[in-house]
Amino acid sequence: METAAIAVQAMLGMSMGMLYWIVSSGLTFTFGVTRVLNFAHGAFYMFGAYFTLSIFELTQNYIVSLLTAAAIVALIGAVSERVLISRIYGLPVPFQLVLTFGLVLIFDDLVRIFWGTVPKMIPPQFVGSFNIFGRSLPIFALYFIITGIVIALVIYLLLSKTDWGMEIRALTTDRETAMSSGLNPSFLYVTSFMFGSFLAGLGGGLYLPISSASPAMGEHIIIYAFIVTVIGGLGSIKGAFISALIIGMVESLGAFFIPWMTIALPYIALAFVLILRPEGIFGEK
Amino acid sequence: MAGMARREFLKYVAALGAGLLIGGGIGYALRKPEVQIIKEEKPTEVGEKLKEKIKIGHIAIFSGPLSTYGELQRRGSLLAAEEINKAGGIMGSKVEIVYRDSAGKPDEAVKQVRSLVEREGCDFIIGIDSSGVVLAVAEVMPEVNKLLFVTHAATHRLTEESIYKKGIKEVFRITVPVYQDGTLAAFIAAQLPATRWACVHPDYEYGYSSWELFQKTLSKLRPDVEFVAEAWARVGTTDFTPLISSIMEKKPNGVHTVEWGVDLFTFVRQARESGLFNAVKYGGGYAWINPMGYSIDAMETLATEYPEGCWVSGRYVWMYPDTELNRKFVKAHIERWGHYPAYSGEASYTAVYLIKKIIEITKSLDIDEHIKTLENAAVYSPAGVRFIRKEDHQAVYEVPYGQIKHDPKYPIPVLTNLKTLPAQEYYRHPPFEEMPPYKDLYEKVLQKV
Amino acid sequence: MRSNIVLLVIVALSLFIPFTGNDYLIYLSTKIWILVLYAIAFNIVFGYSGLLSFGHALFFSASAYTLAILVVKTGNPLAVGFVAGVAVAAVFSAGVGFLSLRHKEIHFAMITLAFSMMFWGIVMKWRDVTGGEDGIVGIPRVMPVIWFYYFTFAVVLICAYLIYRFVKSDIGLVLEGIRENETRVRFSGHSTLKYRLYAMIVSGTFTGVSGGLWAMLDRTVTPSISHWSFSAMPVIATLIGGPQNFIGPAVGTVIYVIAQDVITRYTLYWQFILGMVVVAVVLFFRGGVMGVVEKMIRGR
Repeated sequence: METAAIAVQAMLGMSMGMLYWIVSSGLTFTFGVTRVLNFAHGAFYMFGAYFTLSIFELTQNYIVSLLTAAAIVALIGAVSERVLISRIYGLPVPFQLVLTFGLVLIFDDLVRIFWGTVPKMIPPQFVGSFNIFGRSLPIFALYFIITGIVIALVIYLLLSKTDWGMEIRALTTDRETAMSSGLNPSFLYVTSFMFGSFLAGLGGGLYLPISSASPAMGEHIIIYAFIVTVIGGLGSIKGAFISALIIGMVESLGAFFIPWMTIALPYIALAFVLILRPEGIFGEK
Repeated sequence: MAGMARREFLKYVAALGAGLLIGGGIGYALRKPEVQIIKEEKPTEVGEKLKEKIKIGHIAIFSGPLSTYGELQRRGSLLAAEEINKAGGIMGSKVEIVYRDSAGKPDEAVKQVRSLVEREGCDFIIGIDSSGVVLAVAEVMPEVNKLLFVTHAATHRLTEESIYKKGIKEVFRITVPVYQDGTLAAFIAAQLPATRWACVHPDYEYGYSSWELFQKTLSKLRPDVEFVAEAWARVGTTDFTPLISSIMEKKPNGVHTVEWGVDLFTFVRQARESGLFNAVKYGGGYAWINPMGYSIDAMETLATEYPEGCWVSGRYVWMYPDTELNRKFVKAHIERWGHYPAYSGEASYTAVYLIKKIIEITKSLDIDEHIKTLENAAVYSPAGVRFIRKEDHQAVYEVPYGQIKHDPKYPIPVLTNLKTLPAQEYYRHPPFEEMPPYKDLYEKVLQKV
Repeated sequence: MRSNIVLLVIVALSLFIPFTGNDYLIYLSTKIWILVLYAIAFNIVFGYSGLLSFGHALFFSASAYTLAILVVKTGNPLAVGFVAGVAVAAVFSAGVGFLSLRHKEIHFAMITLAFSMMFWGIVMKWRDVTGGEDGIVGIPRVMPVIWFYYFTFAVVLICAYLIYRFVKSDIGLVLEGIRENETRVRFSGHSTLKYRLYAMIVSGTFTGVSGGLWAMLDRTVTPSISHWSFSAMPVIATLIGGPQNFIGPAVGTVIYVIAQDVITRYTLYWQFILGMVVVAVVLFFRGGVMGVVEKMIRGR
């Protein structure tokens, strides 16, 4: 294998990794603050894709559709948190997982009812590819990488430079102290849920032009989000970023060298990390 | 104390009684429906009605990403049922089609077969989209003792192994099998300048059968050709780009792909973005052979995104053959549904009419009579004349390959440069031990239609 | 006591089923019994030990595939395949248990998920042995549908009884203690890991039994029984029925399967309804159906 080919394959992997990062960052946000692993995060991703699709049909402007859709998903996230998720704080983990799984079932069928069961596409938005040393790298890869880095910067700035961000960090890292120092937890829960869902919706909308919106896409991405989040360390944004890139590249390079094993690779990575370092790369024991 | 014991005992008896009552009630409600022989008011010319209703169970994929396919099949069978009922039914009996979802899963489909036969009282089963599912369903047909008409699933193992070798005589396939996707595709490939062939196939039975036949046939026709790369994509793959770049690494100049359904849309789009089409371009178009590319869902969804000059086919393409029966069917389908007929829709339509025919001929619902009538019979259908072989219950008829053309006169792309072979010559023959001698066939190949 | 009445009603109903002569109902009931065993076995780890496993599909499918491979691919008798399958499930549960039981809650769930999906990956890709996406077809059943129904019924009853004895035994009490307060149990000298491992092995073994029965009923095995979504089924069924009650999982499974079968006849959107039920159960009926029943009886 020539190095150029491997390099391009790695870049492809990084771009998919960026997509995983965008979605997982949202999950990390919501988990870090509310301590609930939200299965329905994948459904928010799916809603992002579908709303982008529908708004695009009206406006024919991809960026507008993308951002509006993500905003709508943020609202859905807020409503879900207030109406349902807030009721399960403090419940044992199995109940939380199952409730959010129930939400997934409901959301999946809602999508089927309103948009039908057949996957839908919009006209391609990222057309063309670069020629790198004689190999093609699709343009969408570049868009994903750029968006991923932008999101990382935005999150970094939010967490370190804003009051809201500092309160979130306090709540995530030292819950008891934070609670007793007069923060308004409900406000933080709702807003972090909104932000996390926004990210999930954005991920879905980004994914739409290179593939399609389908009722099954939520289940597909949530497992990746879970794996990335756990490997990176539950609640660690840094961890999510690194492990998302790792998973993306492992998959991509795996398809190159060991294609017969590719579908199991994320799970092998998960088992590997959990056995050797269960708290994840950046997690605390 | 005694009072307590008696109350306890009574409670038990009551519970048992309730249980028996409920059990009996459910059992009564679910007993097998009786076959009613009605003396009708006005007998048809052919004799007495057999049943009040002839029920046909139609199993296809109605859920999940491939759920369009169920709809495509339904349009065909429902159209046929409506036409037949308007014209007086089958010997006076109304036709009713009961649709069930296989979800693409063998165990689900098997369950639905039983449900349709036992609960709904269906007399025939038609349908099945997936090659993986059809093999499991075939096993069950002798148990439920009904005929199955396969309208889509293509694996040759159904006819060559399940029917011919194992002797499951209750199953008939009326659509072209993978001979279309593998064997005839190789004949088309042999005419193209490409010498380095790669494939991207779905990772299940259908993909493997097609590639195997393609390779075997093409190697005999063009010994100069090499097979340089393979990529197997799990059904439901949404990201083909790593696969595409790994096969592009081997510098192919021809691609054979039996991707279909939603995976195909994603694949074509990502192939364009990755530059795969450029790799296979030649003077006359693209050395890109996608046997099921002319399925209606692909043409409607991808439309102009599918590059002109790619070689595609189907199990029926609406423009071939140019017969009155076909034109009538296409027109009726468009009027009823607003869409061109899909190949599985045409097959479903034909299946229902076929059932009508065999009932009218045999004047019975006896399965052995039906089998005898069907074997070695020729059937006129929109897709042409189908000859149903006795040995493997496979309908033999030809379907052409053509190149995609975007014609503004039509809402979907059309095919030009249609090429095909007489069907008997590219279908494998019993006893299926040897491939036919292709080199001789190749000389007289591929008339323009 | 009340549970006994419910049991009796269920047994009476079940003995009746084959007399309806409706093959489909017999088939569905057989399937229900198999899934009931699956759920009850699962609940050893979930309800009694307090651990959420997302990997029980591994034990189920490993057993089913072992049977399929040994019988269809290499021509061994069914009994050999069945016993081998259960043995494989037992071994896998010991292995997975050993590697995963040191972890808590989410991590435990994720490790079990990981192993289960690794097996799924193998099943999907190793076409020559497992048939890949298409699975293995043509497993013989060697007895007519009605006999198989009674056979399954008997096997499930016996296994359920054995599981009952297990959870009511001393080991079971320790497990419930661990579930309630792990630290205290450890302080009293017990190795919590050892007890949880027993639970896992027993659970996995009986799950293997249900897997073997499934293979014989459907006569086909496909990768869908190794996928994590198949592990989710007993979770939902148990929650609906009530995880703290021995027959909760059984009740939940019956409700789940029948509801799905009935609902799908009227609408495609059965998942919506199931989702609503799940949400309602978690929010308002955390004890499940059996919890409600018990409350009703106690409340009188």
